[in-house]
Amino acid sequence: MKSLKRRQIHDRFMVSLLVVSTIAVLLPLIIIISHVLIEGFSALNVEFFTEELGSPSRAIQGRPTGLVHTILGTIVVDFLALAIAVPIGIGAGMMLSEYPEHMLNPTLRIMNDTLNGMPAILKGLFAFVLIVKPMGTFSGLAGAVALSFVMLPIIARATESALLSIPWTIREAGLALGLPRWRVVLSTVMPAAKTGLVTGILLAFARAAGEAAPLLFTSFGNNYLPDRWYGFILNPVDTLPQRLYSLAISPYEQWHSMGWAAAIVLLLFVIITFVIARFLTRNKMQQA
Amino acid sequence: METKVKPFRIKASENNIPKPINDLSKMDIRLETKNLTVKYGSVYGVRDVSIPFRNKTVTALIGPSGCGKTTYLRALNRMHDLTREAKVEGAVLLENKNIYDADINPVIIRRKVGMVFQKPTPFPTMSIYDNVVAGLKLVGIRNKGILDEVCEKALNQAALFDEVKDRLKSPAVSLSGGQQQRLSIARALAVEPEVLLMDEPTSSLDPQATLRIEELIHTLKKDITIIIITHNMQQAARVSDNTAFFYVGDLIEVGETKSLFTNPKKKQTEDYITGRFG
Amino acid sequence: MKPEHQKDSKTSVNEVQKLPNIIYLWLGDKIFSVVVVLLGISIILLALGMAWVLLDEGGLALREFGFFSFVIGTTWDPAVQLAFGAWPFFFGTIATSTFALLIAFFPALAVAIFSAEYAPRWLAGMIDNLIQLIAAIPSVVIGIWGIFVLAPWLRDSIYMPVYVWAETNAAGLLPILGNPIGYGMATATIVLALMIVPYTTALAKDAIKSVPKEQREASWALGSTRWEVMRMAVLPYARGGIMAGAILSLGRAIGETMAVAMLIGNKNTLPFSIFGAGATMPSVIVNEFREAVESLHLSSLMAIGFVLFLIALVVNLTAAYINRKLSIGGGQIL
Repeated sequence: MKSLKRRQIHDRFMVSLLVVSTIAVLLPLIIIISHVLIEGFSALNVEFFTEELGSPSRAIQGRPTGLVHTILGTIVVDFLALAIAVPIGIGAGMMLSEYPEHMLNPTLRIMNDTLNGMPAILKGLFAFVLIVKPMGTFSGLAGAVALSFVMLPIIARATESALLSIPWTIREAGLALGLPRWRVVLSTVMPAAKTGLVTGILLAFARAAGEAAPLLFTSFGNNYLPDRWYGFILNPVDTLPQRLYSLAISPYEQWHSMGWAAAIVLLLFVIITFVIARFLTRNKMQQA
Repeated sequence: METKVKPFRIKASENNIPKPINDLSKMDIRLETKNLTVKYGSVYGVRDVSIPFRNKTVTALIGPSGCGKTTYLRALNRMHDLTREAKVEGAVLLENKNIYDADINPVIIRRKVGMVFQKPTPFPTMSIYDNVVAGLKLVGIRNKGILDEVCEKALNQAALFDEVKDRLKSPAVSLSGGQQQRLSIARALAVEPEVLLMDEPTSSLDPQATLRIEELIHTLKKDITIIIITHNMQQAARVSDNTAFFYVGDLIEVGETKSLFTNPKKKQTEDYITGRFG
Repeated sequence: MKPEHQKDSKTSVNEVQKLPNIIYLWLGDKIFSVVVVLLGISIILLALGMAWVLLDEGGLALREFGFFSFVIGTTWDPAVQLAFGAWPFFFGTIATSTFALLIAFFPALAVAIFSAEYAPRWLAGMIDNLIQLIAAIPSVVIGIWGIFVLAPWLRDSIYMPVYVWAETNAAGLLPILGNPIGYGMATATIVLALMIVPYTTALAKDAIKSVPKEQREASWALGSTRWEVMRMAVLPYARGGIMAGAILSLGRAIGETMAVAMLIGNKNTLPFSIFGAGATMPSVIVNEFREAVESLHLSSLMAIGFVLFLIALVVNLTAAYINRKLSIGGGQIL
């Protein structure tokens, strides 16, 4: 028979074990963030945002180089991906939430989860076959398509749950006024679910913006700014995650330090998007 | 190892004689609240409630929803410790010792004051047998003989043994709702509490199962003190010796069930039991 | 002549009573539902299309070697023999992700239990935010940290000392330990473990949070200590969700590409050793796809993608199955 004292000592022991494990888990993660912050900020300079990369000799000879073309390329590719993924993802989410009786919904849900669970690199291979092969060249468009495959299932899922969180009575109230179903969805349900939708889209964006694997065989990378604006879409384009990878595995020390700078810019880009999304959710929860 | 029923101070012959609560001699009181107040933040759950509970009697707590019955009941075995906002003032005396004293461990209190909840709460991953002896295994009792004996006794007390004796090892969730609730009672009885708190134990059961539980309460009070919350005034009249009526956090009236129902002293009590509100 | 306001009210009554356009009512709904369903179907087609494209593109290699011979083939030689077998990468993927899960699981569970059950609200909130934030760090950022900070540190303070000790005391272990260059299986596994911890934690915490209050209170009322409540009521109830979360984390580790490709050292031939270089299915695709010229080589990489697709599919379906089978609900379990 265990005495109460022994049981309580055991209880205390387990608590301490939990605390120690928690610290042990969180500590390395905090170390990662602080390393990236310290190394990244010390590597950042003005040229980083104004110059293009050029050949490695530029950096080795100490001439000004930067990643302006990468930053622009990232913005173009990411937002192009968003423009592709948002309508499809929201449409699919609507199908799940607004037509719950539809016979394809179970299949759609399984396929959406399957797509979401697939490694991002496979989405890159898929976009390679779909876009790069027919076009005959790597391109920003192919990169955007690959990233949109990353965003799509997340947006569809988020849309479904955001729309389902709006009570059916609101839809019925609209229908009872004689409004057709599509008006009810577009002008009553969608605005009510706005915060949830935006949060889902931002989270999908943050997730895709950090992906390098799908971009390696699609937007490929480029050391220079394109000659014309549509070069960002139709020609190989540099993006931050893919450039960061190339810099990190390159043999040049100057490029390594530029890699840290790219890491901090990418990290801030992703984390700010992420924090905005979280902030929206919290505000919404406080209102409720 | 204690497997026998604890000796009680009250003689067996006195067990089933309900007395008006104000006649009680101090000796009969095992559990008593004095000026008990529970606050959630600045909101009062119950205010300034003093009730003595006679040993081996059934006391029903009645009143409209939100009147503080559950809040009061949960104060009796320190379940409010688990709610961060709740704050308890006043005293709950168990054998003349305040269970809220700093040197008292709530774990011991909850062993002496068991609890049965609105919904049946079998542990779903455990068998019927393991559910009943869960409280004993906590204190490290591993002896199969003792566990078997206690299990059978508790299931018998809960009038469940005959129905489940052939399938003690099957999952607890395979039982019907009424059986699950009696299993929950058996589990609470297995650790031999002195007081059993029941929070609307029949609210999720059908009439047949409700009847079984009520019969069970009648049998159980031979051994232990029972405090039961009920929404159903017929049930209160059927099972209890004494009744306490709560209204918006205040104890309005407490007394012998028969006289409270036939001859309530307060207007609010009368209104409630005649169905004018609630 | 009627007064102005009467005329007004009459027209407005007519306006109100007028039925909306039939086109607006009927056609609008039709178009809307057709568009929405088409968009939904496009996701189904994408998922199926992905599997088909990978199979089709990998077809050349799969026909050449046969599916099973391809998966268990141990030779990967794009230069001389043009022989392709995926086994080294299959093995590397399973080994790194399984060990990563083994390392990450219990600490992650501990964090989940602590923040769900023990931590005061402000601390739990902080831990949650930190975990989510860390889950959002891009894989390449972890990768660059691994290359320049973690790998050198592991080499100097762990791998080298162990290796030097083994040289004098247990020479038989040397082939198993492998070359302690810092970039290899062990480093990749450690980084994978770090990367899936937030994921495992979040899923375990969801499972723990979904345990009904009544279960906890029933255990409290029996006179349990806090830990006994966890062990008696909470963890058994949540085990389905926790296990499913662990399997999903395994899926994450299997598909994780960039950080692993940057840290595993990239070696295409077995045997892999603990400290030594290795490769995984995603890492070999990253490393060789851009340089592959032979169509058989390219097709073999696509075929590896197809095998990876199958593994990811099995892992996700298993997680869903475990979650359904082990989770408590509807009064029936197992």
